[in-house]
Amino acid sequence: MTTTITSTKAPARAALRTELRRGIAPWTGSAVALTLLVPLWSKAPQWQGSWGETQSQLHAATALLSAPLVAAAACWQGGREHRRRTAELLLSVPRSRLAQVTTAATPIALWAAAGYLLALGVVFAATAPYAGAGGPSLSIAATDLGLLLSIGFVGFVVGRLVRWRLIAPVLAAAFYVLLGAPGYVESNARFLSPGEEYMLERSVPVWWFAPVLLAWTGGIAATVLLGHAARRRLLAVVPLTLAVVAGAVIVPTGKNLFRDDPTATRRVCSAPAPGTPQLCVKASDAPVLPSVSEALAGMFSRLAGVPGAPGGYVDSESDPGPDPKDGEASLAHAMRGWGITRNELTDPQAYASGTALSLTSRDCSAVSHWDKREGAKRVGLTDDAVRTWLAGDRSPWDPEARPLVARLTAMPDTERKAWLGRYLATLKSCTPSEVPAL
Amino acid sequence: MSGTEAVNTVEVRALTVRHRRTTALDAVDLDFAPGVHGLLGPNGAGKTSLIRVLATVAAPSGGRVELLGSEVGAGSDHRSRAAVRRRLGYLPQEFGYYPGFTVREFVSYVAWLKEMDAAAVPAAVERVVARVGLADRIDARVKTLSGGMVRRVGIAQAIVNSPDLLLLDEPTAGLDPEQRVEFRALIRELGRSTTVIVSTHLVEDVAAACTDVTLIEAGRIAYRSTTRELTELGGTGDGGAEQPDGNPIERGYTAALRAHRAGVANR
Repeated sequence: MTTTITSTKAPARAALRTELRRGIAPWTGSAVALTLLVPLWSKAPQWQGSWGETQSQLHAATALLSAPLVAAAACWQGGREHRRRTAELLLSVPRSRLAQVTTAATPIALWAAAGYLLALGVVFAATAPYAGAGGPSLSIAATDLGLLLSIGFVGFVVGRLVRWRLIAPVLAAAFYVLLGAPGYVESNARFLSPGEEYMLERSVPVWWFAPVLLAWTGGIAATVLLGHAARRRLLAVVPLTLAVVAGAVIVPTGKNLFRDDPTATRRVCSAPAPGTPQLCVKASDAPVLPSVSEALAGMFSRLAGVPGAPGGYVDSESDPGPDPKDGEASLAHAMRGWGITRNELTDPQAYASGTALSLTSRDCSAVSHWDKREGAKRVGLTDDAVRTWLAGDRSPWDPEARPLVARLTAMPDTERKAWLGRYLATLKSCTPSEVPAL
Repeated sequence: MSGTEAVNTVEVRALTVRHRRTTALDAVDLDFAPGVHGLLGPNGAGKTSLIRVLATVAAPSGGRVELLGSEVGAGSDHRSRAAVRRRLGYLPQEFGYYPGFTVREFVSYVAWLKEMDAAAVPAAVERVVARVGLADRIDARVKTLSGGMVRRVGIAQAIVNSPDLLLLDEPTAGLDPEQRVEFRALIRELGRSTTVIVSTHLVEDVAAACTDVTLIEAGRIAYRSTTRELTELGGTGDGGAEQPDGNPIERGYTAALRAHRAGVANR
């Protein structure tokens, strides 16, 4: 017979193209995108506007939802040779097992990556219009992507090795536990888990974070792949060594894989205006300033001309936040999803009330039996009345403070300013007799 | 038997295959040259074990196997095995396929697995798909085909690389009578230049398509001859017309097996 073939190794493009179009690979991409976008969409107020929070949420969903899903899909794909009884045919061909496995597993990994990148693009596009200072961390995106690619290959090999129909869901459950459990461990070894929760709201990864994490996850995946499919299985020692070295760097480094995010502590302040206190927040929260300024406008007008009134307000309660200096007061604490949605305060009145509370809070916890001291109750009612009047609330928390609020409201403007000046001067005092009576 | 002038493409010496405590093949010696060779025998005789060793899928427990001039038995060189596999076509008894692939995609995929030249694949795929009568279904998903059509896809993938050695294990299973006739014509044509080894339990397939026949029983060669000789052994009164107790080649098959069993019993 005339042989029309040559022994040259044909490019794998056509085979890979077929694998990319058929089977569960394309569905995996869609499923990854959905498992990321659906939960993130439901929590959008919590992350929209903050690059750090956006990536924290995406990272958590990738590790806990998408990665187990990809493991299951890849495992199912790997098990097809058993289910479809093609193993016999594959054993009779010259194409190496490594090429066969790589070609069959790559589409799952690539579609998973495509699904992730789609979700990444959507959430970045959703957060960008509301974002302040800072930017997305490509390191986190790269390691998340590396995790999905690695799990794609590992899951495939498990599916090839284990002839059990339930292995795919069991593997998914195993990865869910494996990636989620380290969050409950105090040891630095938890940083080996690609599912570790990162505090990206206040820290950023060091520049070598991505290469080391990728060497760790990719090294393990390559070890599994070569150990299973390479003709010279000893080659698996190379990626294994790489993974071990990366692990040996990650564990002792621990939290130092991240450094403080300068945008989390850098102050951004509103433009100074005569008669209006300056507002300062974290640079990443700068877009919230107009909404804060609007919410506190009433309080500032009530404090205008009062001797000793704060000249500025700072967002000192966020973690980490700039500490108030002398003559400054703290702003109420509002978090994205709880008080702030897309840079707008969801309840400006509550925010004003919270800021007034910060101003009138008297820390007498160091004074023993403060609550039982004579006059302490009057001071408490006075503080409540001032807070209520400053915030413009309808009524005080304690009904007994209502007459005090009425008295403060009824005071002539000049007399009230003078009284408030005396009151503000005693805010740090825990001696009831020093606090002026209403 | 194959002509003595022809170069043997398959040489098997003292081939032994054991599955745990069972001996599937017991020191078998065989030679095959280009032509169509039938492997006959009852279920469990060792036909599939022999085919699997020749397909380089299973390693023999002992003996020597030389295919297309290269040693492929246990401990053989990876490169020589790969070289043989490039010139091999194999249709397993349980033919597996990817149901979501189209016929074109599946046969092209196998062509890639056989390391065919990429440029030659599209034309080769269309040619073999037409040859098995599926040209009009070439872009249909395999899962939409009938059992007989899937079997023909199996034959197409086996011959896509124009193999020098074609191993077919129960190739006509699932084919209707008309398809069987077409298939026999196809392998007769292939057998002009290729060594085709057909393992089957259907004696009429051997009668219609094979130049010679090897009977295997209990892991041993029970009988080897040309198909004509086996037919003559069964008595040719009517040129193979159906008789109540089977046609001549079936009677020949039964007679050969009985003679072998008697010989074994007398030893």
